[in-house]
Amino acid sequence: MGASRDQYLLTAFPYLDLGPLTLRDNTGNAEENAYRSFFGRLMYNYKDKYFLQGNVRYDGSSRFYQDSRWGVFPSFSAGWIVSEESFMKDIPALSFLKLRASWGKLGNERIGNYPYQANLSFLNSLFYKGNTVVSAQTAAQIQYAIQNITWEKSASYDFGVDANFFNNRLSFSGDYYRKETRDMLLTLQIPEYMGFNNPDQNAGQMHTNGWEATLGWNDKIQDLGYSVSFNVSDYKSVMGDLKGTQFLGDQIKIKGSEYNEWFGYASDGIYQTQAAVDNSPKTSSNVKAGDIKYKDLSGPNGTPDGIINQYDKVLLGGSLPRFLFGGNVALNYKNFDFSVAFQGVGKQNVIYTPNMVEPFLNSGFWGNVPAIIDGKYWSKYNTEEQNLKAKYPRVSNIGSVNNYVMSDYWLFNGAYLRLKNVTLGYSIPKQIVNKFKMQGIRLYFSLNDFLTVDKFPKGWDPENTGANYPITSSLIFGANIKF
Amino acid sequence: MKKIVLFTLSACMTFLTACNSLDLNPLSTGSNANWYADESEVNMSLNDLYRDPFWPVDLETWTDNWMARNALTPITDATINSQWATSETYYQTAYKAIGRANTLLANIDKASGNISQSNLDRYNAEARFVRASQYSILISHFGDVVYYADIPDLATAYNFSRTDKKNILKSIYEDYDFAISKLPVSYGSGDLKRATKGAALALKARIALYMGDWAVARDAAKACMDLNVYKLYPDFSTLFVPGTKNSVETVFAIPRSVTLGSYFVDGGLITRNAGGNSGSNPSWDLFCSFLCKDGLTIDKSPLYDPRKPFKNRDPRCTATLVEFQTKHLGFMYQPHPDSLTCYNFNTGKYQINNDSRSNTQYASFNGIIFKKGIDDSWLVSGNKVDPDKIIIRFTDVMLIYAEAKIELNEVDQSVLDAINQVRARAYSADYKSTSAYPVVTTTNQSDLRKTLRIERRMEFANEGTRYMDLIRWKLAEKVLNKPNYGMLDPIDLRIKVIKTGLWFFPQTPAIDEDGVADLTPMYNAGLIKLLTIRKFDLSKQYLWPIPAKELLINPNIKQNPGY
Repeated sequence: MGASRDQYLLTAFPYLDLGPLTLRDNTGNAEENAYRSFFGRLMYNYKDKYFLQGNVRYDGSSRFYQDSRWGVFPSFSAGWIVSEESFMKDIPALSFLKLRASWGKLGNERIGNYPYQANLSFLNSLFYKGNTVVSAQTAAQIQYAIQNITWEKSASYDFGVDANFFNNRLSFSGDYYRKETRDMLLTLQIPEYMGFNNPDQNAGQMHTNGWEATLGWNDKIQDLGYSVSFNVSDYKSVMGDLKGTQFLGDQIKIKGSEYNEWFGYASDGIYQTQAAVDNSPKTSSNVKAGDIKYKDLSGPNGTPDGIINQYDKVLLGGSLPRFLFGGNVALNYKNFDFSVAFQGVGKQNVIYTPNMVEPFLNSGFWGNVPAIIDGKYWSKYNTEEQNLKAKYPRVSNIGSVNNYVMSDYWLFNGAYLRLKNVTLGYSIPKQIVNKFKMQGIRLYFSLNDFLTVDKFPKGWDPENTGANYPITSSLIFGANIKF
Repeated sequence: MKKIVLFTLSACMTFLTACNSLDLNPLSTGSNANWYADESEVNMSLNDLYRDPFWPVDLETWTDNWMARNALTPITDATINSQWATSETYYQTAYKAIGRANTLLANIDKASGNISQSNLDRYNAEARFVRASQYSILISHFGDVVYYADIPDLATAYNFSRTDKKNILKSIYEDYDFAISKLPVSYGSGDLKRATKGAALALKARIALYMGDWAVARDAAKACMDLNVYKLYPDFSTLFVPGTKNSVETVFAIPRSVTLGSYFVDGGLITRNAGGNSGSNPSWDLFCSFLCKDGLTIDKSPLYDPRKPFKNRDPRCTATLVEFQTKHLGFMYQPHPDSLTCYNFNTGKYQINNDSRSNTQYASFNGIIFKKGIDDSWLVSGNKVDPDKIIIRFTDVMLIYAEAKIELNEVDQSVLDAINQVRARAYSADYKSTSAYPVVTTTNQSDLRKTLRIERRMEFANEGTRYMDLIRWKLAEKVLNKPNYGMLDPIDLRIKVIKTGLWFFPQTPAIDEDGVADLTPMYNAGLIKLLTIRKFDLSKQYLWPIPAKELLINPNIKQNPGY
């Protein structure tokens, strides 16, 4: 629910009841959903060495029509602590070894509440009644309803191993998993001439492969305690037959693509001369030297048609981060403690957003030219050599329609390594602290988000590529005092 | 032998015994399943078809009437492509309205037991009126499009292809003709004013004209005129301001109301002195197209003085554009580079003149600003304004009639009367008192065609009709390939124009047979500044592109040539 009034006479009193009655507005809505679930579990443990577990769920959701409401979702897992076996006991380096395997089926229905119903939305429109403007209620179905929509189902296998060595000083944990998603719930594009918003549908399949691993070491050398740990994980999802396409602006889900893969033109450098422009397929007749050139890859008949248009868009690589990693190092020596935490992404296709590189944003009205392109753009005032080396297209508002659409020209590797936190602490010895009737004082100095290694343009943060409030670095001196 | 110990830690089945049914229906919205049960539900569905987004008005920014500093639009710089958001929105909203009209037409019988036959006819007629109007928007902008008049299921719809616009036009006529026969001429003062017979006739005339179907345009326009319910509003200068509601001239309009939450805010049309940004301006091309009081173009008329370009012009010139040194939005408007201060009517004092580029670099780049429809009420509610969104007014019907007759070479007194009535109203004169305004007398087809086109431009500036006029007259390839000019920057301006006594216009441009000014000699003489180079690609731009997504998900849909 929400309420508003407008055109306050008393601007110092920002309260709803003090605004003019004629400009009142309010909003509200109500929705509900319900589930009915039956579930059971069977667990078996033999000598703390062999483990078996079976689960089954039978779920019904109000989000689906009664004929397609119910889903059965079983899962099984098995574990074997190999190190407990007698034949493993005589390997001194191995402290613990466990093998794991599981298979499970899961359901997903996280979509709007009434997708199978042709819901009506109520709004208002204005009419003259005599010569007075009045508001009248309107009703319309805005979403196409798909009656037999049902659960999205994913079946996954996971194989894992946990192993510790050298008296548990070295630990390793690894998993490999594979997930097959069927009847995936997606808002596939329906023809716009249908006159409806895109409905959620049981689109099709997605195949996911992934793995993760964690490695750790901790030990103590006299007064020096130290630990190091590192983890890395990766997965990739590829769309199977979706029975359609989901357009997501510059990204797409279509058969054979990755989940939310970049979708756009394949670029071919910058046009150096007008003659080159004239002899090439282009996006419009207003393309000029200094604009980005694209490849004419296809056309309505599947062959190049001499125009750069929607048929020339291709998959340009996944948009999701790959090889996510993180780790930390901790040291303590007597009253000192020191820790470092870092994280990062090993590989990611990211784009130079218009906010980073496009000159004259805001319709050429008052936007400025980003400093990072200064001296690096194509210009008719440059020499030929300078233009050959130009990284950015000509500075032009008209050119922006050609130059700043999605293409691989703007993709770069967004891998980064970020030092999240470095802390150095010193705890004042108890005997001193106790004199002041305190339990403990720890003085510390920490750096947060202080250092990042990445290829982003200066001033842009790999974790925050929108025009949002930036991630801030902080430098803190502090004291923890316990009474 | 080891003993097998079986731990069954848990084997439990939990039952959530029924609390709530899973057959849930929306709480705050309705459902189509049992809708259309009675007349009020039918009425609510019909009301939806009159919502503001379903009645788009083409933008003046797509024409040679407009200047917006250094900015152009995808239409005026020829970069329009199948991913242009505006054309996709036009396409989507038209089909949304069509889908909803079709749904209503397919379901209204459910309520037929509860509705009188005459109302049932009217409701059918309204839905068909809307459907015809939406297909008119589609074929006039996109050419051939997908046509259907039922509720297709999704699987069928994926195989649709485009229908020849000539065939769609026939269906549009059928819908309009049904609407014309069943819609009321007017509504009682207690009823919601929805579509009327006159609206159906007027919009039928418009699409017929747009499609070059002159005889149909003539007959529909004539029938609308013969209804005798619409008149020309006596005062052109106040016809478009927010305070003029539901005028006698309005044939079909969507009302707006700030208090009821339907309005727009356009700071570009408000001067900088008055708190706006002056980013949206009339072009000099428009300024130069207004005739002089003797009915001649500025290059032919002895009354025209480029030093005083607002004097002796058709009254619509100063009703459309703000004459220098006149009161506008509470200030004396004067863009002269030496007018560093200006009079503030609210305080009674002189203050810094932010509408002069000497003080504010973003004041109007060509010195002129729109007046039409803009009055002091624009400043009242935080710049929220609510003039009627006029879809078609009676003047247009009269000029459609005249144009259709001219094209049919049926020039007669009724054609001259139609044009002269429109022109005389601008002069606040009776069209029969031929000395009070420059009466049109020629019966030469090509002369009249030229006169009518200039008349339309003077009459409808900034009302959104110029775009389709340029398209159907095939004039876009000429005027949208001419640059947009403005004043020199203040320092240059003082040296080259002010000190030489050439303010405002250094020269009088030649006006060609289409009423189009040639400003290039002034530019070549270094006396005016080039702002933007407009470009229009005649090989493709007479039609808009079908949105890219349509082509990518349905190979039966083919793109318009050139996109």
